[in-house]
Amino acid sequence: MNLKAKHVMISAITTGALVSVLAGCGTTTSTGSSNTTTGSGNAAASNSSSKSNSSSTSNETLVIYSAQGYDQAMADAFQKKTGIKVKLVDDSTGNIVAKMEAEKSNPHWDVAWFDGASTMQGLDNQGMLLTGWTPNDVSNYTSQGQSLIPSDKAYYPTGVTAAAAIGYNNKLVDAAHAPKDWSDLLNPYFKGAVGMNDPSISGPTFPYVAGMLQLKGTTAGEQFFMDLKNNGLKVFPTNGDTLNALVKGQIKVATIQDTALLKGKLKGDPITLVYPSSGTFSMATTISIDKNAPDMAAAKKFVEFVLSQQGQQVMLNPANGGSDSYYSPIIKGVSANPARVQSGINWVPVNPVQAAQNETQIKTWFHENITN
Amino acid sequence: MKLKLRRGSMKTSPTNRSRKLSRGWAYAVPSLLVLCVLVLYPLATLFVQTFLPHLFDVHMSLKPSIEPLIQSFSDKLNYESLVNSFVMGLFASIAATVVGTLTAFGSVRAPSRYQRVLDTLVWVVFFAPSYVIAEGWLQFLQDGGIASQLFGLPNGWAAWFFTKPGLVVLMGLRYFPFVHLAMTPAIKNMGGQFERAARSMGAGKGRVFWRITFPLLAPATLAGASIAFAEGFGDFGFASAIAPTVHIPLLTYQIYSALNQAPVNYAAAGSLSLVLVVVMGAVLWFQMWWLKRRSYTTVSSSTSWNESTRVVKVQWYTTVSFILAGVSVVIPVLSTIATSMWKTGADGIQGANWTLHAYAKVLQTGSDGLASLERSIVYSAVAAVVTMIIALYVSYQLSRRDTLGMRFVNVITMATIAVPGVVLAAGFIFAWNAVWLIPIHLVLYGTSLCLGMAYIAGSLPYAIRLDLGAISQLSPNLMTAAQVLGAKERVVMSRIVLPLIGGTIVSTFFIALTGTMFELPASSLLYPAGEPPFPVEIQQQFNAFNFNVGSAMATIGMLIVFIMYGVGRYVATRMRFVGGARVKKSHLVKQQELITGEETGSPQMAGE
Repeated sequence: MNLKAKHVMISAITTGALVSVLAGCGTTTSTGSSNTTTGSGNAAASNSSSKSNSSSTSNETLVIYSAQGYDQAMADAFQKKTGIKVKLVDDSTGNIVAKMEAEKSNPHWDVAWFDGASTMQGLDNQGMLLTGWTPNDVSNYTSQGQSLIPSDKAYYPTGVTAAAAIGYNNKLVDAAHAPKDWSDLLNPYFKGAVGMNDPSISGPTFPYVAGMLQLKGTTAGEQFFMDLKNNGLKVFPTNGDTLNALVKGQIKVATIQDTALLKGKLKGDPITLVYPSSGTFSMATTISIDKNAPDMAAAKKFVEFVLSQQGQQVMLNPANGGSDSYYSPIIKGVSANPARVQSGINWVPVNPVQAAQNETQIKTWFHENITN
Repeated sequence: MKLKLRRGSMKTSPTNRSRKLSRGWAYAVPSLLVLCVLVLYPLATLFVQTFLPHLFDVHMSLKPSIEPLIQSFSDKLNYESLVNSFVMGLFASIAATVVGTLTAFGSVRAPSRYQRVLDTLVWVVFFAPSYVIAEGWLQFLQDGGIASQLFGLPNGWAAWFFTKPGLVVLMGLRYFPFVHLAMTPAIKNMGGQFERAARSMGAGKGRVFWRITFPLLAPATLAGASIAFAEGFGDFGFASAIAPTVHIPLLTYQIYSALNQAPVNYAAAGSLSLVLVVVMGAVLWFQMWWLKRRSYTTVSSSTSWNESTRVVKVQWYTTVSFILAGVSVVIPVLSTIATSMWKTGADGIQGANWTLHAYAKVLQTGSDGLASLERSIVYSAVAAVVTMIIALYVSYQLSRRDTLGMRFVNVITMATIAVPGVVLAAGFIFAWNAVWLIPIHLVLYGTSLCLGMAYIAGSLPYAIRLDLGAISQLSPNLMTAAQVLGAKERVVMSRIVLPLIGGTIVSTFFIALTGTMFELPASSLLYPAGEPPFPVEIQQQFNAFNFNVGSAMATIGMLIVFIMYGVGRYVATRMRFVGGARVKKSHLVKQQELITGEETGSPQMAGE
């Protein structure tokens, strides 16, 4: 009896202690995480509190969710220039969007930055993004850049890459058979030797598939992928896997994002890069601001910094961004990395509104008919 | 050997019963509260979206809808993937059981120095992160990979491995440590007396195995097999690295794509996870039901054997064990290490392609890699200590009090073993970022505390099952006897339970430690902005095609865990020595020491 009474008491004390520990962690911003990393881990908590009483914005902290290789360098450069503290969450586009969607009733981010206008459009469709805002230097956009700005101004393009280009292993493909356009890949010479990524897994591959359906029309576009499949198309998860297969000789041709092919080529891999003559699907890297950004002013400053000459130079340095730095700039007076071929590319912009609308449908079709 | 008494079968008079049951809930409160905060509440926020899909929208709406459920179940790909996952999990579990049983016998009945090497090999497979093992196998088996470079094999030589049966074999080699760790202590505790008795009565070798050995080991086998199934059925890291290449749709992959691809569909992820948990719950319930039919206590107060376990002859199964464990460790780990030392992937094993450049890059002072490594070491250490303590508390309560409340706790810990990390992590966002927490300042999402909680939640169910397995092998008579002799509960705990299951407690520490060090889904979804932990950095390197740097980081991580394990084992051995000296006064415990025999410090894992 005595023993049991004592035990109930212990249980009660434990319970009380747990509750108070939890409560303590939520209210104070310095003690909660003292046993793990430094107190700065509570940026998000302080953000949400600054959001609930927006009068106190004494210590500006900008939270950026990004999938871009050069994001850390940009955060550092921006912090140095403005003195605004930047906290970065760098992850794949999939994880970034998953986080944003899960947070949407109580968002923690100020700026989101990743490849793929259709994905960004999907977030815009849910009313998550700041609309109607125009950055200072918007007139600095090239005409290609201007064409990529959506009518509600919910997001801005920061650069362009090819969602897919043709890269062939020049040790395995002789000059006579070098492909020049999409249709060349149906040649029996390439039987079982063409690879691409799975649009359900790889971010840039969805605009590639959607772009093909847009360029050739849905029926003919689907037929093209069916024909590729009949010619032994191999579908890998992401750029890295397909590139690996190309380099190892498992396939002779890869149709993947041009920046990945270019980086492999510059690393010394035997790759020749071709932009298909009938059309190369452009994929915009897009940046947006949270509709209820806790630090709206800082967020706007950051977007303007990205679109400035100074910001673009940071992004273009491969030491900062790896393969992402080989993008094609869309700001006047900014030139691409010299390794990149810029002339003679027949850009076909993919309509993000339409692509976002048909995303599930197209991915399901591809999965059921091509991947499987 | 007493086989009559069952856990929790202390005599209770009917009048006492209702009072006991109601108080049972009071006892269960601390355990329930911990599980609520860490597991139940986060999962509930995700599952509830199956029926309330707009609960976490920009504008919260409580409008119910079964649309997500209908959508999930009208998708034929979901059916296909459910069947695939079940079948693959089942066969992987069978493969793991065959390999694990073999290595367990191979280890226990081998000379002790062989034993140590074999157990260490098994532990390396156990704690090496799934995605590293998978990448390692890929690097080795793929066309133009290490094997074909070494032996000049043509493209397509390993095509068989990228089919369902091939994947089952690889998964079996991945998950067999669960069976091995569950069986080793059981085989040890069983001793040889029953087998010898049967043999002396004239039973043949085969008959002894099927009628004595096998039935006695059934609980451990089932426990290991069911965890192996849970892993195979619910694991994402391994399947995702290899399966997309072969295009076998799996349930975890469907969940992942619902979470991770635009358009994100949390309602679908919730309903598919619910299916996953129900299937797993059923399997584990079956295991429990099977075991409930009778007692399998092998460590009781009246057991006293002090037979010499010194073995000199190396059995055939020890040799086979070495080959299997060796293959499952050496190939993937060496492939990872090799990749980490290449300049370019294309040149592979050519002489001029070897360099330590990637390591220099990771270990550069002030590098992101190093900072994240430091963070993860702290996270791992804290999570391991907390998990170890909570698991011990909950499992002790579970074994001592058979009340409705505790049964509920028991079911929860079993069902949540099945929950994939990515589901739990997503649940943590909804749960700890919910709008109703804003007024009470409890928005923990985005803090390191939140990530730490998720790490603990991920390892806790395993740790509880492990502790419970070890505790339930102790006869209740031991504890009751001590209490009758006047020992307080605290004394029973510190003098009897702790020394007897010390090895298992150390194991729970390492499960949480290694689990945290390499945990990917929670790390990437929950880390505080600006402070990425180690697994996130590794993944970023792989995403950026820097296979050498990523592999170097993984190798460094494994090395650190391995060193910690070595230190831990050393400390455990020392502790046992000190403990042994202290309990010399107590006759009861001295007897127990004889029972557990040598190697208490070795990793143990046992189901009930």
